[in-house]
Amino acid sequence: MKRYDCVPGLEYGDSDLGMSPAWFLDGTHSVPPWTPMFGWFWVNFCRHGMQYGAEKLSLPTVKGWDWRFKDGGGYLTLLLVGSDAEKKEREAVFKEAIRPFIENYDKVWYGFVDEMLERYKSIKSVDLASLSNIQALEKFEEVIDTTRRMWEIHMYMMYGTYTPYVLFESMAKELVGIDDTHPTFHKLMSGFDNESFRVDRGLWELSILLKDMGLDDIVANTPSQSVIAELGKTEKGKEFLAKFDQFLEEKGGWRMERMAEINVPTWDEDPSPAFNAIKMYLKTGDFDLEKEREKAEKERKATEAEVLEKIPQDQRGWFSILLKVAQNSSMFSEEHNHYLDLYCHAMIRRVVMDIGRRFAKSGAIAEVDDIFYLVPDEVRKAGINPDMFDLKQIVADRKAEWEAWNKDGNPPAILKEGFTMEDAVGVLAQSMDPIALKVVVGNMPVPKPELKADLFGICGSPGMTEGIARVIQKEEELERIQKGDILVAATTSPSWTPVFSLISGAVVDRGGSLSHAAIVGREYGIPVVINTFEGTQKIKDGQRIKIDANLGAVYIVN
Amino acid sequence: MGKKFIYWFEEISRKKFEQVGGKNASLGEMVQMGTRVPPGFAVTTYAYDYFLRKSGLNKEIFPMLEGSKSKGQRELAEVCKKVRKTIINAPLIDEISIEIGKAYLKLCDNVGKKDLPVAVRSSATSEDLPWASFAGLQDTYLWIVGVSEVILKVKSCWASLFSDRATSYRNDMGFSHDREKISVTVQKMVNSRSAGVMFTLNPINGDRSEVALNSSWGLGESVVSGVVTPDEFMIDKATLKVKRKTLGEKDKEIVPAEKSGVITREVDEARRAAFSVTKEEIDELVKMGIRIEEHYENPTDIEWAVDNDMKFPDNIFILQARPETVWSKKKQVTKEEEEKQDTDYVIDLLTRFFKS
Repeated sequence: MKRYDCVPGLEYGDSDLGMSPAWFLDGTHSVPPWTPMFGWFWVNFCRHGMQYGAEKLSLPTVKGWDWRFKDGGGYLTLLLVGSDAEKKEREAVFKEAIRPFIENYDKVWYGFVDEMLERYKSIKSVDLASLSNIQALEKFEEVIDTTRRMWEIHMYMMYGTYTPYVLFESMAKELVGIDDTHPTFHKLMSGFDNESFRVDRGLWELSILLKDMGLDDIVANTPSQSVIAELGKTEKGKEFLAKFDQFLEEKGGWRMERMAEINVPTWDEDPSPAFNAIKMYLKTGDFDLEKEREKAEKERKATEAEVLEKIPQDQRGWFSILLKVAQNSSMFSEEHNHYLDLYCHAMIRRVVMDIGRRFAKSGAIAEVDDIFYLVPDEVRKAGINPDMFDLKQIVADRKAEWEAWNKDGNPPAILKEGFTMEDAVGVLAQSMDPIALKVVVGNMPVPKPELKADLFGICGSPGMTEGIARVIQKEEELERIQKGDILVAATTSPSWTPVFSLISGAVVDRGGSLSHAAIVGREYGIPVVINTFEGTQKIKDGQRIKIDANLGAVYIVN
Repeated sequence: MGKKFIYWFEEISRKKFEQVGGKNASLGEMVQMGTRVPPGFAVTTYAYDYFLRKSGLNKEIFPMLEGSKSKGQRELAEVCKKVRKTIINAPLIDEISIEIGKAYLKLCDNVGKKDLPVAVRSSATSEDLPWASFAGLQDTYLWIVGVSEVILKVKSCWASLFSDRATSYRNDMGFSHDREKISVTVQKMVNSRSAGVMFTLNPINGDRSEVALNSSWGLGESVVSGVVTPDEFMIDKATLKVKRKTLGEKDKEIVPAEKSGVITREVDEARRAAFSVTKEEIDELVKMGIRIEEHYENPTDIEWAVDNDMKFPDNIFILQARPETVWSKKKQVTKEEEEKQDTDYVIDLLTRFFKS
């Protein structure tokens, strides 16, 4: 049977080096490698969304990014605007297009949030199992369209939000002498609530409720998988579970361990990760999330006043406006994960799993989860009459390939001969693309030999601490963390947030000042060093380390 | 016509707007309506123009600004800085500096104080510049002493026409850089013994037959900002009779610091227990207040001061007068307008950012 490419039309081929001399791996999202099904969604629509967003805003220097799929990895390159004449034309349009982001940010963003919630509702409110195959296929097409729209909004918003952020950083550097690795800068950006944090607050409140109800010991001493069964044995436990279900329904149900994949269960399906998080909050003792936030907010306001003091009187008006717009970035960075990526991916999973059940039941594939090794064209091929098709060989071949991708890993960049990584990063910087600058490249650590540190990164959240290093590769390992430990990880995602209440600091391999670890570190008031590149390799689990985030320095004590 | 470098406030009327700019024109207007403002003079736009032409600076700075439209933020900022530096560093034409020097010394003489501290401010003429009142054109230099310092600050005010923001605004609007002229205000710094505010109506019940006057020791900031509880007087407009008076606490006063700026200090017991204005001062103030109210044809909110350096009645100054109803409306519009201008500027910076 004919087997399609994973992402037809967008599979990486050597001729692509003719189009661009440098292709970068999206290490934040496509490591470990994606399944074919998810890769198809991401590469098609993230790519579409970036070009859509850049075009809608008419960014003067960049037309978004091009993407390719290679061995489960997403590879990207920038589409730069060539001629000065075209830049000029785009500038004129940009001037008007960016205006709503300055004048009425909330209206723009929450308008989109409402639009997406409507779309999710249309998918969520249907009992998929009751549909005919034709109707199920219609839902499949609907979720594809929803994903396309999600990425349009995602990238339009992200370009429109991060562009003022990058400008603000440059103006703050010029007028006050602080950039986004500076503790003062971080204080300006923290102390904002957002929907993602409200999920975590929900978990924290549940942990408090457990203590109040005297159920905390049961939860702490029962494996997360069995907590629900254990609590179900008593009336009090049932009372708690009702509150817990309400929380899943209203807030946290679509969280997944990995943000950019669909082959792991959501909390709706398997709530044990939620209990892992609650346990984490139980361990933290007197930690008070509410108080931390208030503290950050208070500090921010004081810092705002302090910084404005240093701005010449006649410049304060516009500077305050720009500051306010830039401050949206932290909120958006967390909140878009919540409303866009996570929620939409949970919807994809919901619909794709339904197709998987249909295919498995009729024998087209062996297991429900095998559906992740197919791509939409194959779903369409067998969608109405799955009993007439045998897709098991395709699944077997793709699975074998996927396992090999996982084993081998993907190179961080594919470069044309004679083209160096420095050249490539130079092109990125030249693009002025705010997403490339703040998310892909980030600020590079500058080694300061006089500090005699073992590792250098940049300051993601200010402060100093010392503790036991816990090198964490996967979310499951988070339970090893004890109060006061320092988290060492390649990167972190929204479902890791609760652990920040327990740790005294974090060291992260990759990420800019708008990465998850930096933002959460600031809100939880703990030091975070980001962009250390090799922290997870140099630091051994259990070693005692000391970090001075303000200087971006990490010391291995023993 | 229009060939003078200096005008005293007494010589200025609205008609001279083109030569002296908005701030000077309104100071002149105050004098014309029979009130007294801290004395001073205007350095005219003609002086600015004459300076640029005679020194040849116009041939130097305007070519520098050519093509600044297509430049990135950083480059534009550098060009503007260079232009401003050129203006400030250029020696002033003798004819003008002699005139300014003479005027300053005459001001010292009139007040009867050597090395009189003055405020030097720009006074914009362009109606095209809606943001002129807040965008860098409102350069203000306080507690300036001596001819050479005054001249330097006058040049600084001139240079403010080439602030980054003003320059980029002209670029955006397609205006040429030499179309605007600028005038400068040189005015005695108020060294007030007592100061306060006055309403030409009873602010509590709106009774327009009364004038409400608040007063405290030192500079008026203490009253305006509410640092002290001032003395309060309610005066009958027709008879100038003080109907009610209350002694304020006045435990602090804000006074000029030795070198520059101001300090807050404690007021001694004796002065706390005494009223901070005399009956004759009140009479003079209320009379001026009534004239201002008649001029604006509206109840008016007035800031005033009694100066330490001069003798009664020359020491009774009106610092600011705002027609009450007009002001509340105007203030709102201005604030919105300002915000819009600031937003436009942010968008401008964002666009320019892609060029850097």
